[in-house]
Amino acid sequence: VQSTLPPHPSSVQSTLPPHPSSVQSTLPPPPIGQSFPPPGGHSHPPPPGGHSLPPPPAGGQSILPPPPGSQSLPPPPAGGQSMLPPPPGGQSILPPPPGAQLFHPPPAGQSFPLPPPGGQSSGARPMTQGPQYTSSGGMTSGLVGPPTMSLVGPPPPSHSQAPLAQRYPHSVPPGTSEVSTTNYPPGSQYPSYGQTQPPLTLMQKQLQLPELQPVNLLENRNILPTQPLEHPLPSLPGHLVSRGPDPGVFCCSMNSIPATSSLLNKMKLPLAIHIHPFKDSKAKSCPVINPSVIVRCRVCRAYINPYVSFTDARHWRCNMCFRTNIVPEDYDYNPHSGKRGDRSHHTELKHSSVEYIAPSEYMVRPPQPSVYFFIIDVSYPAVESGLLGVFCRTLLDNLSRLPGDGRTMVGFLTYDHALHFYNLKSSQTQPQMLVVSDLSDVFIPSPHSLLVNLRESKELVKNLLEDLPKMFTDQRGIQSALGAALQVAEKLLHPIGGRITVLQSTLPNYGPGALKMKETSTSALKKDQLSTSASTDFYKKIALECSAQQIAVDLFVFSNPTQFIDLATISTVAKYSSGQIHYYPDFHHTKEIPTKRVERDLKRYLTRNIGFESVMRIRCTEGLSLHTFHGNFFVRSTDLLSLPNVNPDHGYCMNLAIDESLKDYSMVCFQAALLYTSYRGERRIRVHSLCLPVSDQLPQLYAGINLLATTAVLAKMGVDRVTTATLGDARDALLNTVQDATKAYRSNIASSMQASQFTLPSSLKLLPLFCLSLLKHPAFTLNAGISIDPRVQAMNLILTLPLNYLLVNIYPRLYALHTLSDKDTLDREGEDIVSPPVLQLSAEKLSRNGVFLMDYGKGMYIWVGKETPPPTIKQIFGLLHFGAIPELMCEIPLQDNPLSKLIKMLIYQIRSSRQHFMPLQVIREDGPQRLLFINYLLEDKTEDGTSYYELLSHVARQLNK
Amino acid sequence: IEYNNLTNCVKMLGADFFVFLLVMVIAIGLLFMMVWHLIMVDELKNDYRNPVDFSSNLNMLILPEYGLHVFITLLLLGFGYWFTFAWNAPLVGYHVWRYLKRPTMSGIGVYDPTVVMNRTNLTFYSREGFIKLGFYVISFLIYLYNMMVALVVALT
Repeated sequence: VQSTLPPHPSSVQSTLPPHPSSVQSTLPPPPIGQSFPPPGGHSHPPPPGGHSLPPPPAGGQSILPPPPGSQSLPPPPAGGQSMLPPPPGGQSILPPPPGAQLFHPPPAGQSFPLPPPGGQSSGARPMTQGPQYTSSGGMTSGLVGPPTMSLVGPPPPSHSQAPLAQRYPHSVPPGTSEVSTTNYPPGSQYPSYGQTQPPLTLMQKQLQLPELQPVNLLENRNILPTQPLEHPLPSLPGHLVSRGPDPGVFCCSMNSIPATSSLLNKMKLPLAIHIHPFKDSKAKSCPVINPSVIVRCRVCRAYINPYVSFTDARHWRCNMCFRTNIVPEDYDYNPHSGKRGDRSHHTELKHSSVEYIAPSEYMVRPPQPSVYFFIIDVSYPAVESGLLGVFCRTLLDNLSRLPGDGRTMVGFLTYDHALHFYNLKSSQTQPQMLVVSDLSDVFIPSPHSLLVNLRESKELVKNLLEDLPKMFTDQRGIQSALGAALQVAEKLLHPIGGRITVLQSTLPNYGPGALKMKETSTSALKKDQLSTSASTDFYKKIALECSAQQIAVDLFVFSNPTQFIDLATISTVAKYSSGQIHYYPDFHHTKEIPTKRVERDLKRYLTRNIGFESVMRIRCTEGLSLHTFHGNFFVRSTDLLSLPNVNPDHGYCMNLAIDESLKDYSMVCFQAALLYTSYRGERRIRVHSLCLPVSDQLPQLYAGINLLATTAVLAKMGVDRVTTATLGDARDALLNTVQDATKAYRSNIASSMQASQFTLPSSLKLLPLFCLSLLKHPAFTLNAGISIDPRVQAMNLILTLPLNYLLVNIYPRLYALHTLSDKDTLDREGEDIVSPPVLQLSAEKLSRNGVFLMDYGKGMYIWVGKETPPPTIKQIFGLLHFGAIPELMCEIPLQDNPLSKLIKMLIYQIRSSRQHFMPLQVIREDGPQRLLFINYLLEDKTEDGTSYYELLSHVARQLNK
Repeated sequence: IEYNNLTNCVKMLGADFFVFLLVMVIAIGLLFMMVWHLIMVDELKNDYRNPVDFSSNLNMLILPEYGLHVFITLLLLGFGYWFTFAWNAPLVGYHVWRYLKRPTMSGIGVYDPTVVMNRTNLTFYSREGFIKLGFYVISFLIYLYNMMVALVVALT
């Protein structure tokens, strides 16, 4: 019954006459410093003043306000409460605790006095700001979303002047009606509804949240919203939301943290945080500051952040350990305004991501110089594929752009069955090659001239790079002593640290760490018994030694799909030393696309930002702890990751465990602090903080689920399972997640009516779809056509890609190009492109007379239908008709018409948003490569597995058993 | 004469007594190893020790511990103490299973420094430590009892 009720109560207050508490809470989150006192002003503990405004219930104002003045509505405080992070244990319709202090365990009694009308409550703020809020609300709210479900449909058109009640006659915007099984009665019924119904309980009200609208999956075909999926934002008080980190940098799979571990267990969903700490960022999103003193908690050493509370003028309370700290002298003094008690100038209190320039206490030794050591396989396959030439050329072009200061050092080592050192001492006129062929106990010739200062020896390095490709042209050996080369490189870099770049083209089959060919895994695959654990720990041991000496090993592995290179084993050298793994299964210098890809990726790799000798510590509010770690690093302590090098293309993920009840807290905080040496030789600390509300209400917890982050962590947990158990186990675990989550939702929330159907709340409705795409992902598919190395690389990518890149990798985006128009691609100024509508990955979305673009994470395909009208072909490709499109087309020409320009803009936008090169390939409907494209239509039955509806009915059968 | 006295004494006390004395001493040794194991796990949890240290320290102890335990089990079997043998056999089985299931590694031992920080593993190690500690304590009491019985039988 509840689900069909109109969601009025939560909205009631917003239209009431300005009762202090209600008005206050419906107001938009004010821009910082505009109408709220600056952060410093919040220092006095509520209640009722202070910065303890209840979170603005956007839902409140947006879900259906009945006309103002309805007599029989429940009292305003009740309405307000549904949007609040509930007070511990308080389920009742008590007045909301407006004074809930941030991070203070609220007092036991829940009945806080209402704020006095004149106080902080900002009751006088004009309602005209409301529309602003609704328009921005589309991005700001998890719980308190605007009526549009944040995942579904475009935000409602801007409606600036009309009264709210008129604006939303229905709580569900047109686009969502087909998704939601709950159809609301017309708006006109609301007042009468309110008159006849008794006030709802808190639980019932929470059920009205847009994210919780039940969705019957079997009846809804078009489940994917056309707008690209966005991360919902946590429902924090307004002034805190605006300070939150970019979800791409730091986000959690649940935007409301369960108060106890039993609640979490009930939901059967993972709780994890994703961090992309070293994302290339503009100064605006991560300002660099150099304060005289870095303020940290004296007990837990957490950095001060926007979410701490100031208990009085002299003290602040840490939001990790809740201990009170003294505010340092002069911290309150604002040099700009010349006033005391004003902290508004502190950047670290305004931004959740800041970068400190660290003083000398943060160094155990002087910051190291940038050190780049390249070790290159020169066995026959490497020379034959032309890799050596491509690499030397790219490095030569970018030699002056290697990040570093005047102390930058480089060195080279090539290896086949012997090790070739290059003496690059600046006193020499020519690079000198030194060959060591006894690998049992390698002796390093002239250890001081192998790693040289780049500036002093630049000419020699250039000479070497020019000569290197010519030196091995008569190479016929296929032996490759990677193990010995790594050992030597580690010894050379030992005193300094730095980065080792490995270019490997064949199975390392000689000397220490030699690997053997393994049986291809087809038979294991058939029995679901595939496991991808390493066959030796030789490389892992090297990685640990490197990690201890601040050395990272990055791997570039070149191979062809049929050649086994045992990536599972050699990738461990990068995995535990925080290196990156690149795998090019089809590289040959004669092939255009792969060569371009290698060149671009190498260029990006050589010139991108880099941090040396870094560690990252992740602090959580007491009661939470890190459980499992996913990514490339070595875990040195319960919360400390050792990252000899940190690069901007890696994301990290940690599962969380709830050790103690969090019921006493209204919010919890996470803080990732990355201490590193920049390539300019500065010690820096990048601090990201994330603050999330705690809830013990299952509806709120369900509404706060960030499905994108959840999917990503499920993928990572699946990869762990393949490594420790088998592929079959991992696949079962993924499928079980869907079943368990649905079952849990049924028993926790769903009414009896919904329980018989296959329903999920709106926040979770894409879970089966994403799980299906995971099951078809190269890492998890049963398709025997994918051999072991590409599989391992797919797993590496799942573990290391930053969240947003990973999501495209899991569920590609399909756009219709022939229907592109300015309306849906250009933003208001007509300059920036915004994403056009996204289509579901199903053949039924394709048409024979259309052109489609698919962005599958690693590249792009353009699919051209057979019956595409010649004018469209002419517009897009500049060719006369379909037949004129060549078999291999890797770039589309820019034509002088709006459509072509839009397409080029879209492609440019996609490319520039990615860290690696995105090759483009045009695929004709009748071409031989059509399967490449077809296989990405994940919702259909492909050779990788079942269709979406088969999966759904399978799960439904299991559920009804 | 002294030598004769000693052999007489040994003969008088009987083999039972000495077997259980030996087994008991070994059990005390194993008990201390478990205490050490638990201390290490605790230090690792509380950030006093890094995973590489932890693993190398405990890996050194793995084979001695398993070996000693197998030794006493076989000794008990050899002397036909069926009950005490049956008491120990499951743990031998567990040790064999544990060693076969160890991660890929070239050295001896079962701890891989790259995964020990995993919370699931940490909980497992401390639970394993406590259970085995309890097992060795009970074993110790059983051996002590058996030894006393053997002594009493021999002396009466």
